[in-house]
Amino acid sequence: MVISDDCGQLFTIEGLVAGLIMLSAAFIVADSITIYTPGDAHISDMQLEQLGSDALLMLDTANNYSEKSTLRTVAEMIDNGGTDAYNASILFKDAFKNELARGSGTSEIVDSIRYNATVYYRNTGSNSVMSYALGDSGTGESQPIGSEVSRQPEISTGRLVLVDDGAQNRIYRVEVRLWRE
Amino acid sequence: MERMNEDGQWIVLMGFIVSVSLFVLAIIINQSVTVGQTTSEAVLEFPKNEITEVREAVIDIAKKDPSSDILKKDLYALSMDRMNAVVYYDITNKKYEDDYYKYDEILIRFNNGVTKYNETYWLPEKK
Repeated sequence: MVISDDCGQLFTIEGLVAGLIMLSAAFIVADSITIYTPGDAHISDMQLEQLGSDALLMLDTANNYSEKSTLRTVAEMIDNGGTDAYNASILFKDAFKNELARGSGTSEIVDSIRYNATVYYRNTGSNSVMSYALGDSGTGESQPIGSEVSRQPEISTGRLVLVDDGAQNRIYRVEVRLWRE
Repeated sequence: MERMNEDGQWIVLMGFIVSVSLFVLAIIINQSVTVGQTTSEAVLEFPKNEITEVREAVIDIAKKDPSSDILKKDLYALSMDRMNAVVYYDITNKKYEDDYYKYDEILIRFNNGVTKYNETYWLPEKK
């Protein structure tokens, strides 16, 4: 501080101000890129719904014209009741698991998908809709519980299946509820 | 301060311009991330799969058993209970004919309170 020359003061202030402005600009830019938006969660929900819907569509497509689709076979077996209904659950679980694994190539994503499948039909007597639990992914917990996941997933998709039970045609709805763990 | 040097004014100005443009870019990026949310919410809300389901079911009915009252009740009850949608359909057999095909007219109405969907479809069948 021996030098009593006061030239360069403005440069110092300028430098400080410019530095602050650039730092804050850089901070805002970096901050806005790394921000996690709620939109990201919806995008994966969207993909999940599409995946489930595609899997059901594949199951509802017969290999050839003379054959029944897997989903129709499942619905008809449930219509028969008894051991047939039990076997239908096994048939559906195996087939649906295969379709999910085919949907996205990465096994890591598929392993995290959980599902719960139910068949709905109308009771002709009471005119109310009845349900039959077709099965779930079987990893211990059958339903996502609100306290365990931050957001209750509402991704469910289904297909209406026309079934001929001998006496008359009926419509069943096979519905799957999907969520990620 | 009397000996103020006027050199470097352009450098200072450019510095300001760069800073301001960085701010503007940051604001634009902030705005753009919300676009994904709106889009995916709109996609999730739109009952695309439900409409496809009902459509395919009605066309199946038209092919197999168009006059069935049981199927009609089944579809109405299932769509009301499981999709929260009011569904109506009407199938007119052989509404139109030409030399090679006959056409069934299928009327489909779907309304879940948010989305309304009406369709008239001619299902061709070889004579």
